[in-house]
Amino acid sequence: AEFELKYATGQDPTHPINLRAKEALDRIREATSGRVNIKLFPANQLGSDTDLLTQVRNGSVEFFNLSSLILATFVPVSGITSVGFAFKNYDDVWKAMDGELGNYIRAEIAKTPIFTVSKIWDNGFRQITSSGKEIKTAADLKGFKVRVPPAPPLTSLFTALEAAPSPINFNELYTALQTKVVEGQENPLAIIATARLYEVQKSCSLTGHVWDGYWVLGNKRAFQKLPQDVQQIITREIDKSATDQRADIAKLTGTLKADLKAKGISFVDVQQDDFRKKLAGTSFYSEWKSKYGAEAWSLLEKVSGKLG
Amino acid sequence: MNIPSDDPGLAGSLHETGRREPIAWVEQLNKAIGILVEVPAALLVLAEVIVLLMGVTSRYVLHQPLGWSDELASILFLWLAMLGSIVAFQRGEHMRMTAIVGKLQPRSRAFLDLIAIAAAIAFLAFVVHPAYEFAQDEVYVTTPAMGIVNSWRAAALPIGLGLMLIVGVLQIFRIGRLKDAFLALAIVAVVVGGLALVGPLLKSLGNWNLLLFFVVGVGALVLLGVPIAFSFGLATFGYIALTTTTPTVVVVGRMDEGMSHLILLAVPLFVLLGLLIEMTGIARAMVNFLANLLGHVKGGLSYVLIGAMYLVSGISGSKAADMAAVAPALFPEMRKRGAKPGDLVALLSATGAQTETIPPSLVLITIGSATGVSIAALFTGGLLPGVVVGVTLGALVWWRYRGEDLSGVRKASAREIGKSLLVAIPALALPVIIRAAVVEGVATATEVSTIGIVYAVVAGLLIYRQFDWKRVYPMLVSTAALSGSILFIIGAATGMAWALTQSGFSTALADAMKALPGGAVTFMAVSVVAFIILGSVLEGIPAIVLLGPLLFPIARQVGIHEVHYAMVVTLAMGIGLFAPPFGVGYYAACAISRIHPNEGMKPIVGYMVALFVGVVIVAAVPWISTGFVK
Ligand code: NA
Ligand code: NA
Repeated sequence: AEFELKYATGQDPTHPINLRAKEALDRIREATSGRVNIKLFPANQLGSDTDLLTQVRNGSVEFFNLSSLILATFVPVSGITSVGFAFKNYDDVWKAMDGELGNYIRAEIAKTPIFTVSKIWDNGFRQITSSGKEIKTAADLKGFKVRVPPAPPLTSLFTALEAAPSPINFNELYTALQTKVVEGQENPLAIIATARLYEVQKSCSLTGHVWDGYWVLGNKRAFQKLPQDVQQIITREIDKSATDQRADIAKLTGTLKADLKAKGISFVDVQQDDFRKKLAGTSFYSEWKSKYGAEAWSLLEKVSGKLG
Repeated sequence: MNIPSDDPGLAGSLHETGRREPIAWVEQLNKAIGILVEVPAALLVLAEVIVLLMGVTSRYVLHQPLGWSDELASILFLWLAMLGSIVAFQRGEHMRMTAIVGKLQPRSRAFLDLIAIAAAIAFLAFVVHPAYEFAQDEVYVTTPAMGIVNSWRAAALPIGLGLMLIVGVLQIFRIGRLKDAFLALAIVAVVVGGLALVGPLLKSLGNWNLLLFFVVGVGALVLLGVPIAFSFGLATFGYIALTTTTPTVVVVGRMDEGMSHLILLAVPLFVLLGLLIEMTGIARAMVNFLANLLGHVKGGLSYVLIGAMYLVSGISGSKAADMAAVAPALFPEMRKRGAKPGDLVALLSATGAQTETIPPSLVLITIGSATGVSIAALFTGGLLPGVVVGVTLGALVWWRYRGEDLSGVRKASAREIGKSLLVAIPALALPVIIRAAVVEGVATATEVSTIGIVYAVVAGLLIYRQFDWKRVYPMLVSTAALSGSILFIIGAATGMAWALTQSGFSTALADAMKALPGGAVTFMAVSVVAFIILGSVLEGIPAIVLLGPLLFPIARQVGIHEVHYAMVVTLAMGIGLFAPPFGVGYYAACAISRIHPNEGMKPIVGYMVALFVGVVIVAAVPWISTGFVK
């Protein structure tokens, strides 16, 4: 093909992210009559998320699908999607992310050598699981040894809630839960299912404490080298797949719950307000507000209501 | 694997014939850089032990997990890996294949040593600037836990590679005559220049370039005795610079990730633990007990060797350390009883391969980091396969020694056996403690080495009263050097894997293997053969980095348990690694036991067959590997 490009992701080949990305790349090939061939590299084949971020910045890969939580190490404000208990549901999420807050973040990302090719894809709300006591209220988290990824929005959230957050490599998570190095962990339901964490956990509290999305990042220099019409086709098709992928996750969430229940996980409904109240009594929200800046924060609060 | 082979290493021998007098200021500068690098490298090993130990204590004892300990450990780790590779480079300890080089006349061999250094210099000269760019670019990234600029970590690359370049230039003029050194540099420059000139033509070759760079190129460099890491690095850099539009900085980024994966931190720590159990007399206590127990039966000391290697392997991560701990304690007595040196070294080599899966094992750690399979599961799965292969080796020993004359051998009394058991109990407890700490959730498999280190130090100081403080510093430096040489290979192999993957070749290979008729059985058989060859030519670890991420998902798809597959692959690689004439491990065994490689060539054939039979059994019966894995 005239333009050979690379599109990297960190998810399993069968994850909706990759199924929908592949569809987009096929449509792009077709719509450009084969001029553009974008190869898909799923499952971190070309590197870890942090290294792929470097690669898309320097142009070693042209496109890369990255969680907004990890992108925050490079564009701090991108972490604002993961402020604890900010979004109550998907209506809130899409209102913010397809609206002013999303535009603000995309503009910040575009100040660097990379940019966002499409609207944001869905990673899901994160839920807490436990092998011991069920987490029903904010008070239950006190002293709770929970594995969290080494991301400040999450570690600070669990510290503010007086839990004992511990960073453990994802490879070792299953065994760490089995041997009770930690009592619990938190992840979207899809991960809890694919990593078979239900085998070593008893309950899942539907805290939905943090929402996270995937940005499809592009290398500006490489993208601008493409003809205008090709650029438009790429954006259009990846945008369409973003919509499809969001629908996939919505459908998946329902079936996942039933599957996990059948595998012995008991689901616990929680009052999000209880957690939000506890956080409001700490400096959690004010600290993040000063970190992300008043402008971004006000755009978030337009959707979430007053935080803290 | 350390390769103190009987051939001079990269740094060469200063006492070779026909050498001129050393140049004073070059020697001084070389020494100064040595100190500049070795002291911080030793301190970094120590710092890693302390940081991880703090993390474990804080989480398990104080119930206050530290958020920053993993991240700090990982930043220090990249520095440790880089400084360690410099030490290894200066000492000529980067792994290389000397099977062919070693057969040459001293003159030609010495010249090829210079070519090897010149090739390393070329690679380093190419990557220093991209490494600088890479580190500079990381100013914009903050680390998640500590919130510091990521350049603190990335700076290890330009600084490390830059120092290594200086060391390389010094070495080539230190060990070679001026004329030879310039000639070697000129030859490498001509080859590089020639390739650069035909560069534009190469682009049109498409994927044939993979064959040119990674089969012909890497093959030629490895056989010429260029260290494996530099062979990979040069081929990858050349491929990316000449045949793609990708910026070459990607090579540096891949090295960064490959060398500093947190799981790999277990490499230096278990290497240090291996050196400690030898120094503190822990290994010796084990060997004495086994020798009292079995010494009087026919072939008894050979069984002791197999058993002792198993036990020592259950503590240490490094094969070189295992062999160094066991061989000197046993070989003098075995020789006295009339064992032939060739048979000794052959069996030592074979036990090296036999104990490859026994946790903690560097190969298993690498598999965990490259494929995402849980290290803890691999560590559980590796216990029995080592026993099975030990039994097949034991069967051969029984056959070979059935006529041994034991007239001069005294049977140890029950009292002596009991006494040596008592002495050995604190030593025998160590592998149990390591396993228990993981099973009981005290520490992850990565962290548990630090508990072993503390135990070994305490046992050495208080129980065995054998702790030579003077040896601590050299041990820390050796740990850094051995780890650096292993991690540098992993880094270079990670870069090469990127080049192969982005070309689409990897997926094609994986598809071809998946499409083989016969499903799991054929796939397993092909894997065994492939890894025996790769273990022999490349040393096992880079083969895992290159192929692990491709083959493990296929194994899963054809219904093979990942832990089972890991054991078979590791043992197969072990056969290749310890089989002459190519296996690097075999030459390490010869060097450690001070026996000439030629002597072991014939006796080892039988042991290799016994190993192979063991591997076939492990491959055929999945339960051996997965029976205890949930
Ligand atoms: Na860990
Ligand atoms: Na071992």
